[in-house]
Amino acid sequence: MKPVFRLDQHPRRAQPLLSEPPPGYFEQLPRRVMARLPQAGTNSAAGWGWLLALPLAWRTSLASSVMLVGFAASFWLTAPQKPVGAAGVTTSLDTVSRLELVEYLLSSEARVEQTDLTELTAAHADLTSGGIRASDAEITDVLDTQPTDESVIL
Amino acid sequence: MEDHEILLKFQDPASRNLAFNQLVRKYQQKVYWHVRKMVIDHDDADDLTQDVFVKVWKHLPTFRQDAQLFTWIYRIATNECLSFLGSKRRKFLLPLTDVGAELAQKIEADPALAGDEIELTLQKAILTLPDKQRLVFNLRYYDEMPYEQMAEVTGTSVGALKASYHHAVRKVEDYVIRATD
Repeated sequence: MKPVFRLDQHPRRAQPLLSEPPPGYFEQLPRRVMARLPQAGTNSAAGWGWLLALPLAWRTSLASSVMLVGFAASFWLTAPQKPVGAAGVTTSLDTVSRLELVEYLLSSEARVEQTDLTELTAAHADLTSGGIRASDAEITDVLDTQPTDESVIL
Repeated sequence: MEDHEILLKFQDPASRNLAFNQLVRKYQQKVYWHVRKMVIDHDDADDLTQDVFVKVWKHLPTFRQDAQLFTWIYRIATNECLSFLGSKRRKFLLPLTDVGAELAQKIEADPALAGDEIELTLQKAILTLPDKQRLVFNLRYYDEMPYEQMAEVTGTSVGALKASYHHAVRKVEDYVIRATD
């Protein structure tokens, strides 16, 4: 005989026989829901909500300060590297042989002019002390005999 | 607290949170079980129940009191459930039967149904119904909701709901008979 199942003869339950939610679930649910609401939430207070509690003037000054710090930081981070000083140039040129220096000066368009020598010797007083055996007065006399117009030595 | 009192207090910003807390306490179990019957899994039901009440909070200021508050909340919960099941199906490109099979696996793993073969079979039978028909079945069979109220919740005519429920009962009975044959 074919089995018969009639739903209206089956004992009706108020809800399917599923496992109950964890103990205390419905006591906690309202608090969890309230915490998710935009106005009553505690998440925003823990995050950036404190900003809203500040007076408008404070918020404005805080925003200005943050912008200034941001500009300063970006300027500092994007500033070009400091140029190497004259001492650094002198030090690095020491490693270049004299022959290479002469070849470079002869082959390139670079020219050493009087002003270069004047500035270099003025900045580094001891630079010429080992190379030129002459007193300051003798050097001055020699330079005075040179034409006053800008001339090329090399 | 009556619904109209809750709504009245909700309109006052000073008592809005308190009123809404009362609303959640009043309807949380109904909403939870309505959702749970559709998605079976407790964690999913928990997420969706919270989502439902957050939506209720957002839209309550525009709630027109031409419908009952309870019916309106049920409608939001129903839409959340159907959207959830639909997105799950789209996300994993699952046909209807596979989502039903996944839910049936959860039913089988539920310790509350262990040893109750006929109830387990009945639940599996209900899970073979399409989502909307299962919703109609749940509202009528478990909640014993009047068809007029079901029509408000689902936005479907009373006649269509009666036909849908009738077919759902036939499908469920046939499934149980085949399963126990």
